[in-house]
Amino acid sequence: MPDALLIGLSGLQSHQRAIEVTSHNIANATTPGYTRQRVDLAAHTPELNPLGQLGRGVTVEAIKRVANDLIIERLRQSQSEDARLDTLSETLQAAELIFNEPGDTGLSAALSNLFASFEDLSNNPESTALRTSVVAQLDTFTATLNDLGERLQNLRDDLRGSLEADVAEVNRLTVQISDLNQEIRDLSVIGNNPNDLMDRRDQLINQLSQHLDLRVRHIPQDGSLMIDAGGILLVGRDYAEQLSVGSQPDGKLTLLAANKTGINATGGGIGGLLDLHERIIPGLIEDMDTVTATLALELNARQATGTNHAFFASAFTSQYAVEGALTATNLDSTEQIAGPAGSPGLSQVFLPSYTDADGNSVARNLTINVYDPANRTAQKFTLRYDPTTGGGVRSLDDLVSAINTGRSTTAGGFTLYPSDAGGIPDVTARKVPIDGGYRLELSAANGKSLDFSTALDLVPTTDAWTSGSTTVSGTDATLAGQRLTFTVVGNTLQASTRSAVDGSPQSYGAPLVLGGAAGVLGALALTLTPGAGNYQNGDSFSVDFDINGTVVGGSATQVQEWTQGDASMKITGRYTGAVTFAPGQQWSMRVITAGTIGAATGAPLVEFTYFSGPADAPVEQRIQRVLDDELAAGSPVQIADGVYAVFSAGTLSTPGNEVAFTVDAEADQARLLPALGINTLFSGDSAATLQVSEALKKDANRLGLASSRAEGDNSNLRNMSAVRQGKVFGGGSLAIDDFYHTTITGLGVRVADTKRLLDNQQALGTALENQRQQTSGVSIDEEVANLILMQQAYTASARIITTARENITTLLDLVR
Amino acid sequence: MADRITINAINNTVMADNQRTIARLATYQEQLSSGKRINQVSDDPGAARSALRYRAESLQTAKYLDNIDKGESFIDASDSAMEQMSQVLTDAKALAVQGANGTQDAASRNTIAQSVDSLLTRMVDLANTVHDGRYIFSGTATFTQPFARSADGQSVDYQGNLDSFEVQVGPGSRVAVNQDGNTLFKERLDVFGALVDLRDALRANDASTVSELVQDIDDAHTHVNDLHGALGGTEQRLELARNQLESAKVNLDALVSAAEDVDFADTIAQMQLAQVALEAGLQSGSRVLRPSLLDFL
Repeated sequence: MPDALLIGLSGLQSHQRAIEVTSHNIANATTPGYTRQRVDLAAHTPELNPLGQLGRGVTVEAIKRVANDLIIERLRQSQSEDARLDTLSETLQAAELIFNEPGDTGLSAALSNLFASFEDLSNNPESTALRTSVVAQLDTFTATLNDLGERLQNLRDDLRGSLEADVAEVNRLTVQISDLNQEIRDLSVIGNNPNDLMDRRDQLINQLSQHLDLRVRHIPQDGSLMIDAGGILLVGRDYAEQLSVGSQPDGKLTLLAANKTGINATGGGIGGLLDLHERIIPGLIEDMDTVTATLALELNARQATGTNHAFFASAFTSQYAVEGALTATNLDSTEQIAGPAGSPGLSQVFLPSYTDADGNSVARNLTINVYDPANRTAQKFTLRYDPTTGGGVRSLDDLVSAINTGRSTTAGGFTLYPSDAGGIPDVTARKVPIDGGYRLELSAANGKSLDFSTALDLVPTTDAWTSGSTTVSGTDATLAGQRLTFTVVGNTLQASTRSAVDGSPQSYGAPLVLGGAAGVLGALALTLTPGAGNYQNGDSFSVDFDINGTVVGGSATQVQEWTQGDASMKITGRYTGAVTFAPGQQWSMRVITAGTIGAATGAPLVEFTYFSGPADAPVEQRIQRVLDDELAAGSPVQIADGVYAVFSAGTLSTPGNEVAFTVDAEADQARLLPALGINTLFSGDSAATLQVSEALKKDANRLGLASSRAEGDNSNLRNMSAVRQGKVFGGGSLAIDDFYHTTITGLGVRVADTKRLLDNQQALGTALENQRQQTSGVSIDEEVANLILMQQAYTASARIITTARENITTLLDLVR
Repeated sequence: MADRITINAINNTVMADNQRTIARLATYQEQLSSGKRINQVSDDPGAARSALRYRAESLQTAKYLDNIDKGESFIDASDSAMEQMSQVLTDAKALAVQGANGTQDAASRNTIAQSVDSLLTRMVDLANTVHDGRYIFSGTATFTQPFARSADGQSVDYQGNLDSFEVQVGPGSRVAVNQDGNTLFKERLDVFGALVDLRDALRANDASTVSELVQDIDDAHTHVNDLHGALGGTEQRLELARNQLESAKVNLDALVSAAEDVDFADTIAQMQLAQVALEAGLQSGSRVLRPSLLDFL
């Protein structure tokens, strides 16, 4: 009899429990990550009875989660990918906003505005106002680039903060998961089903999977699980890995385990952040730096060799060279010139070695004009570097020495032409130590100004050596590797060397009296031919000594040049041909028939020898002109393209007299000036650091828009304009706009792709979540139906108890 | 077991679908209000690239057109000066013919010489024409007065240079718009010399030389007219370049517009479609989400 009571009680209790579970399910119907629970009811172990087995009611066997681990695993992977794409998408869109294209404030517009300002000035090259406006445009352009560069860099730097926050979150989660692991294990081993704890753990793992790509291993024995990520164990049975962010000296970031080994994290938010920080954003920065460096180099090279009618700079100091850009020049040891790492200076060791397309060493020239604004004439010097000489022992000192004395201190490979000047008069080169490196400083004295253009305002020397030649021969060990310059002073011939440091003359030996017998100077035997009375004050010539101190070639003879008193000649214009200076290819003018310039009869006949054709295959040309009344004094006499001579009134006295002059098409063949950072448009070496050169900002007249000193000359500005069309990117296949457009379109494609993938991924996530819901979600209808069922069973069980009680009452009534 | 469809699953699906439709609507709305189909490169990278390239080219083309305007104003100034030079030489020839006439005496020839001298002055003034603050016959030495009469009035020397002032009318295409004074007046034919000679011959009452000089003046006239014609050729070249650039600019602008501007009709149609989809989604969502077993207990 009590059996029915007990059975009824078991029914009551079990269904009570079942109703509780159903209520719990309904209460958590919208709880994220909640897995519905199910009561497993089972018949109680039956009682053995001689009649057979007797049922003992119902019991709750277990309360189980209805979960499908396979779907949970797929959902986790999907969330990991979702988080990765979300991180990428967010940052890439931020990067896209930094570029702000297409629009009126992006780099595209800044480029168009810059080149438009070049065109405006090109139409009005005389205008000081427009020159100032070009400099202002340059400033706006660098500001746009700086802003772009800095914001990209900031974007990259900010990623580190996000990464560290993510890693902190991962560390927190691993600890929590490991703690839950412990609790679940403790409960599991005593036969409990810690469903809600397991739900909570799944939730935490889901959160963790948003940061990293995980692999989860279940251990069925004790309900715990282990998590691997990036090749290491992240969470063990009672172990939680603590990660950290490590930075390398080059700014790269790595994810480190507690034992400081690097982890290869690919998925999740952290994978996305690392990908952005190490690859994608640096790629953008590098592209912008390439744009900057290449554009700066090309414009710097043109500016450096430009001049104009208002440009009178007496000093140049090298600025921070655009390091990255030097790879595009002929300097094949670029790191030699770039200076100590991180220093804006040049290095003392200076080993330019210029090679042609086939990699053969070739000699290269740099033109230095010393302009005298007072009489509007210039002297043109060519500093020639020949890598086949000098034995590879070269330094910045050699370059300085060549400018100051005419040749390198040691056999350094630098030679100055014309050679009789000894060094560049009135010009001093100095090596100034600065910031751990050196800067080259060039300065002109006595009101002279310097430039490096192809401008021609040459007045050939009027030195006279009418009485024959002077020969120097002999040896003096103290003059090894030096140049000795002889100058006529009064009735003496004085010898001097020049200081390599500042170019000041250092007298050598006692002066020799002219007109006397052959004299001896130091250990030299100096021979002077008779007729010395015709020497003119100030005339000079130079003699080189080899490393043993012997006059180069055994002896040197100073030959006859131009007759003093003859009509002077000026070479003007800007050479538009292709032939560059070579010592063996001097341009010259020779008097064929003497006469008075501009006379109708008896006018002089002169012959010009010059070179035309391509620079590597020059063709010698000769033209003769009669300087009669058609070509009167002051008339420009055309020699070659853009080169003409102007004779002043007077006579050309001696047939056979000849003057040589220097003309070249390429003032800075090896791009030595932009490499050294002399007379550049910009300083700085990256998008974030590019600046308009300080000197130019102070004086817009420094803008080298011309190749000559004519006010209306816009030729060099047109060269600068042509930079925009120049295919100098991508191995010579892309112009600047193409390259930039490729970069931002690449970014745009990446943003669009990421967005599309993220959309797909989110759709997949929804589908997987629905799939999970199919198994584990709470269906209210189902639960309510269960509730009704359970309630009825409960009511029925109660009825059993009532029945049992009535039975007992009936029985007891019998007893009473 | 049949698929269990939970209220959460339905809710998720409804929300996700509606979100997508709303995002699409927002995109169409942005496009319609800005008039641009591309607000960021990622909206359509291919079209954005075309738009960027064509816009840069269009701006460049506008600049070339600007340059042509400047070049033409320079040429117009030269043109008008050379026309007047031609007139001066026509007058000089008339004076020469008059002076060569045997009926003239020394006094009248001297008067004519004075007229020739003032023509010479006029010619020098024309050769020193200034336009926009620049000497136009001075080569690129535009701040240097190209011609100056010597103190004795016997010669006129050229002080400018022989360089060309060029304007850029296309990538790699330049047109020289100036005529240097040396070529015009000295190098090939000494125009001033002819006038000076004529004046001196008239002063000297030398009828035969004067009549010989008629030919020189005539040659000078032809020479100036030839170069004037060449200038017309340059102007035509500029005009041709202008026509090409203008039609290129129209094409480029059309390409930019095609690449980045909104096709209103199409976008509005798409937007309406999206609107219908959103309404349908919301309505069906509200119907599906409402009922549960509880409603019927």
